[in-house]
Amino acid sequence: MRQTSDLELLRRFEPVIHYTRGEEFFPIDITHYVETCNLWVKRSGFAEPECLVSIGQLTLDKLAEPWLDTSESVFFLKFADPLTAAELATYKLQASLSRSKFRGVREASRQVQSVTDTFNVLSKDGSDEARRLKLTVPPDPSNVFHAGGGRLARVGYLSRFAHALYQFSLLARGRVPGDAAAAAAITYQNILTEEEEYRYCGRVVRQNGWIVLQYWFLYAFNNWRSGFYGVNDHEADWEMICIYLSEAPNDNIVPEWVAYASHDFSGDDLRRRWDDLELEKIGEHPVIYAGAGSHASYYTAGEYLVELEIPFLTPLARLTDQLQKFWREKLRQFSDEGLQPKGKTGFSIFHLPFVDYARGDGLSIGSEQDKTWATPYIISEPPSWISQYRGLWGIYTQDLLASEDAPAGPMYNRNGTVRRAWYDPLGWAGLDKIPTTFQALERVREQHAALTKRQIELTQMIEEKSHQLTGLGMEAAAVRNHPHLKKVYEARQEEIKILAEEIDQLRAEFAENGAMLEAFDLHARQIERGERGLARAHIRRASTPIPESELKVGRLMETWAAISIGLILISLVGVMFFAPQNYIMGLIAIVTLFIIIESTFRRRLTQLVTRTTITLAMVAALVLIADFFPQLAIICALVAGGYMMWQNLRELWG
Amino acid sequence: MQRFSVRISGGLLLILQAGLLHIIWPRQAVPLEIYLVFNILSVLAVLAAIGFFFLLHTGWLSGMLTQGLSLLVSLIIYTMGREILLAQLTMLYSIFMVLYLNSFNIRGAFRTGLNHPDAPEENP
Repeated sequence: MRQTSDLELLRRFEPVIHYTRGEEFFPIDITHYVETCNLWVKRSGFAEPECLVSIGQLTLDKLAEPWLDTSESVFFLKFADPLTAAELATYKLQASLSRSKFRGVREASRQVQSVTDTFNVLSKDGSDEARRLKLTVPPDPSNVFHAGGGRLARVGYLSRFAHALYQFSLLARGRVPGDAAAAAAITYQNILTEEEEYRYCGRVVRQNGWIVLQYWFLYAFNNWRSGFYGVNDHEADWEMICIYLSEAPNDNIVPEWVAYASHDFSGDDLRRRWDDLELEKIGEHPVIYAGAGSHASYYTAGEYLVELEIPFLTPLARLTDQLQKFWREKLRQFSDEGLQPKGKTGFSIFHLPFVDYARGDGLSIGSEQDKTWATPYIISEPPSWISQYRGLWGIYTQDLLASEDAPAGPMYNRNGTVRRAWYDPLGWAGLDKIPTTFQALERVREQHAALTKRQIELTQMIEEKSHQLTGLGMEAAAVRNHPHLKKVYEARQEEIKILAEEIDQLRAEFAENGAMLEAFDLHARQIERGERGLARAHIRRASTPIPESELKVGRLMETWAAISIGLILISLVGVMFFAPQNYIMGLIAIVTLFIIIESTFRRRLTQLVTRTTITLAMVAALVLIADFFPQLAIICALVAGGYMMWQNLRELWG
Repeated sequence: MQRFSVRISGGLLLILQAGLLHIIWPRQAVPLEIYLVFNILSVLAVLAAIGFFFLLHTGWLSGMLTQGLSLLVSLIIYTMGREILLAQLTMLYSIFMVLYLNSFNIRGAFRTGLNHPDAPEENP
């Protein structure tokens, strides 16, 4: 009965997902995925991974068996075996023909089909493995991804340098092999050809009066890096969204909040209220824009730059904000930061030139869309393949940053601990502190009653202690003029001081509670009127797509962004080699030249001139203050003295 | 501040700066390269003043550029320990000019639609 109602709820609010053109992986049926995989274990040290269950023999039940090994061992699934050279060449040829801008769609389709047929004829003589990977479905030439404006041109030198370092680090770290995405795409296409269906796993959790609907989507592969210039690739990609419902007194179910998982973020920023204009809905179905390759979920269509918050720079960013505020408001000076929207200033946010393309111009799945959802798996009571299998759901690359390792299942982190989104879906989205709409009034009244009770206690305590205090005061007054009772007098004085402080604290608490009771009354009235306050008050820093104006980057700027970091390094080496005696001056000249070129391309020459001049003015001001400090101190003292005299005389003369 | 007063006050201040740079860095007292640099800067200041009279953005930019270069050269001369008093005087005037040129009223006159949120309403 419960299962039926869970299914109804899940289907009633199931989301609509808009993908980006060029997306190759969509939510896959769990059974098909597992049955296509083999199970491996990697033991500690240099031991090669061992295959425990080969392809075609793995099932969900088999996966749920207790797999035991040493504590350092890692169990993992492997979805697609590497391609042979011929398979990879055919795939690449198909892809390049599909992307060709110089052929019409029909011509490209014909060419792709021809290549595919040729490969299939060749692969008939191959092994069973090769036949399994045969290219049965040519990619649709009209469904091809184009990156658009240069992503490197959207960020500064520092970010480009960090990006270059990251790319280099891939050479040293473990990573998914280059052909893994192609192999996974072919395997997934074969599964779709046999049975095209799109399925999610649905979970219904009841917590603190909330009904939480969790939609878990499994993608066979995350090809963000190899397919869309992103951060990483990995086999298996679990994504999730939550919808938070409350139950009205008349048994109606009302949606109140949604939270979309986006990479590894958690907290208030993930959450949107159901009436938030940013949240698109089709009927009762919230709309998700999935990042191309990464499958991260976004509320708005667009292209998102990866942001990295550097916590240790936050105090410095706050100080800078304060100084800028003083610069603008007290000195009445112009500042570019003052024109930027709130939350976008501060250098504790570091942009990396990785773009999550969530354009929503590709396939759509969901109610009234190109494709619809198949009946979901209900995992409210976690089946054993979720609760028992703690290994990874795709290939284990032994990446030092774990970024290229496959994730574990919906219930677990990679290290085997339980995910917060699983055991505390409210806390994961910062909703654990918020009651449902229908509980809110009751909660306010409860708090009001508790505080009223406390006020009564406080009144009694203040009365008693005030009585004690006046008694002590009288005792002290009585013994004050008696030298032989000096010690008693001093002791009473000490007691009076302690008691007076205590009473002062109680009175302060009483006054504060009084203000809180008024606030509770006001809040209760607002709730009774159905007012819910601002929909976005909880959001500290929301992901926003790159503005349209910044997407239009000139070809010259793109080229400059692509070569600038390399050119800087070459120029520095050149200076070291040809003019080592003037290395420092050469370094300054190169950096200055590159900054000027970059500013010119970005049409920020005025900003550069202004900022540099203001910085020089500040340095010069510090120099002058240091040089003339005694004189300045004397002038300040004279001015202060004159001002005080003038104020006092003005008062004297009326 | 009315646009007319921006043209006049800004222009006059820049012309004054051009004169000052020319006067306080005489050929006899300083090396040739310093003399040349400050003379070029005084020409730039005159050009900036003309731009100010016509309320051209390039006039404002030239004015700011004059201050930046003037400050840079003065700081270099100062760190070299030469003509310290003259460098200090030049820096002081340039600091004042930077604060003037970057104030909301002045920048607002060169950019339409830019006003300080707390700035008093301007009479037409």
